[in-house]
Amino acid sequence: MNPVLKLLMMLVIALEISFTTSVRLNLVIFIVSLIYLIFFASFKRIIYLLFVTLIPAIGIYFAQKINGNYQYGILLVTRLYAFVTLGGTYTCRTSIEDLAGSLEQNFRVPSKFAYGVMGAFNLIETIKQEIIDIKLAAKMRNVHLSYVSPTLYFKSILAAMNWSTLLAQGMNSHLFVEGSSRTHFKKITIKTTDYLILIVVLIAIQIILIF
Amino acid sequence: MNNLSINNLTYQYTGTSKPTFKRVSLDFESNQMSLIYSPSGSGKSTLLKTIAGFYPQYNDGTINGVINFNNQNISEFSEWQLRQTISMMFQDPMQQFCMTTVEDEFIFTLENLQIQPDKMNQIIEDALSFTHTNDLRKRDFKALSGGEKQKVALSIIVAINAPVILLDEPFANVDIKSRLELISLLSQLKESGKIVIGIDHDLMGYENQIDQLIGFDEDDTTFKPLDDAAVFKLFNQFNDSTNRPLTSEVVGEPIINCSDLSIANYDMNLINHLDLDLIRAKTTLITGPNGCGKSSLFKTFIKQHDFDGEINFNRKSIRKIRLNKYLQNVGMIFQESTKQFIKITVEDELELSKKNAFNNWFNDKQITEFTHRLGLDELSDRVIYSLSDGQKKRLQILSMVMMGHSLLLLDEPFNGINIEYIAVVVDLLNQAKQNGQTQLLISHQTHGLENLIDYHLAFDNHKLSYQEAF
Repeated sequence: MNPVLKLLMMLVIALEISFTTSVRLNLVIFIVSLIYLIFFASFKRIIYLLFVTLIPAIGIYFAQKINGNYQYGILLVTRLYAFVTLGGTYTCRTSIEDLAGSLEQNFRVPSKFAYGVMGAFNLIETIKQEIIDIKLAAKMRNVHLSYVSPTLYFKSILAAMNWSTLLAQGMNSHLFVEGSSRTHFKKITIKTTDYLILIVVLIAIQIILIF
Repeated sequence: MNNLSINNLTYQYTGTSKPTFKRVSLDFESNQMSLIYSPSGSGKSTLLKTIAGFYPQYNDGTINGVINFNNQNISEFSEWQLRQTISMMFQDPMQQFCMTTVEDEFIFTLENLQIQPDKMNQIIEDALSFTHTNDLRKRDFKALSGGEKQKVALSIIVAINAPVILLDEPFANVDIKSRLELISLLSQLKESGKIVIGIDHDLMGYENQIDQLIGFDEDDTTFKPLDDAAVFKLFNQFNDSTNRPLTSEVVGEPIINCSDLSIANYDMNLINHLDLDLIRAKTTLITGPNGCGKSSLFKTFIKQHDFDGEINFNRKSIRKIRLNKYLQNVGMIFQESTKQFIKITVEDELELSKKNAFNNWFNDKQITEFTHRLGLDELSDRVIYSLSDGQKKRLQILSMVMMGHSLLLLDEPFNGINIEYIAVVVDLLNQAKQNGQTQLLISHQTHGLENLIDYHLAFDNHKLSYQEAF
């Protein structure tokens, strides 16, 4: 399915379950997403998603139970699982490159924005490494930076700013120019079936909600 | 036949009192390779980025003068047209790649060039085969060595196929073999009709390859072509590459002992079952081709890389020493200077080292003397991030040596440092060594290090062995 339409679908569903109180809908979303994940995602990832979510889920459930409202607790727990598995179905099959490509090609989002998002995404790893290096360099100088040290933040913001300017220059040097037209190696299209899936899924959800 | 001419070019950074360079007039032609050779901090990188049109776009400076390509002022070019005419290879290739794999970066570039998708595959194959790197096509940049990245960066420049190619210290992280290989590739580009302009602080390998050598005139703060006599003198200075003998018989007590050590990077084996002693209070030079694992070995020594086997530091396994405690004894001078700094001004940085030193090997008088000899005293209230690469490097070395680590790892510390400061750095390192410091040094640049190096370890076939010369 087209990455942007898929994202749109996810957002509508997420919004809908945020404002409604149907345990049944949450369960349906959870089960459908889980089946999807079993088919397309690795076993390790599914276990990870389910177990990490368990911690806040138990917390929320018992907090509500102490308040005497265990039904509300169940609602929140199922909603949480619906959110997590729904998100999981998106990230397991869709790459950030495809999303950026679709935004640019199908939705006329300026390429600057599409590639900016992607560049920033690729920078996350770099910035993580920068933070490790900053702490390492500090230790060698007998300075111990904790997560509340202003120096750590100053240095990482500086590193991020530095990298963003360099990224812009780098993209520029490889002929990326704002507003200039580009060709596309990988054509990303929106098929009629994409729209069909979107409409059918959204209608199905309304039906579950109403009845 | 193309030509690029620079007329009366002056560039001044905002907030400085003097221009970086002024009234620069130079001419470049097709089938010509030129090299700008000058001390670090003289502004050759700024000159190159100004010609390429990155400055003043990416910093607040003012530019005066005219740059013409085939008698057409390039300031009248559209940005896209300019980038297609003048391409540039950066000093750090990672700063030039915005995608994660080699192939994606090619595609991104070719899309920007508005190449039809069905032609892309052929262009990519041709460009990669120019640097003999076709097998890297599907690889992640993170898994490439410095030299491999540089070759891919050059391939992309080939794919862009601009008439003017600028190179900003392109071989800083490249070993001698790849360096000669890359320089001969540049010659081929030149023969095919390109204008090739490079900057470098190291002349190794350029002799008989370049048509114009441009130097920096301190008195007029300008760049000028050098005459034949000056060129001859400069090359002679660099060519005394007689093998300097050393002993391969190591004696002394080891500070680090590796037994059955194996290191791998992703799926590549770097070191296999190595047994090695590194001797206390000596300087050991480590050399080897790109990607052989020099930097990974250093990372392993500061506990930032996985390994199999055992490494003992002072007879204790480094796996059993806590990182905080370990780094009080083992320091590393990073290749990238900016990573090393904690403070904001030069003075504060040096003050921090003085205050926090693990061993006070230098007294105030010696520190003042070295600060002066490294040209750092006049910079004391400058913000570190506004310094040139060479100035940063000198500050970095001084502030790390002052810390007094019993083992200091130096990863290409002479990058961007010009020849007269190398002698000062050697003095500084020798003084620390007399106090008992052990130094491990990765450096492709070995000129002027005769008085420093005690042993030489070379990589060969996933092993390291002591050599009889360097």
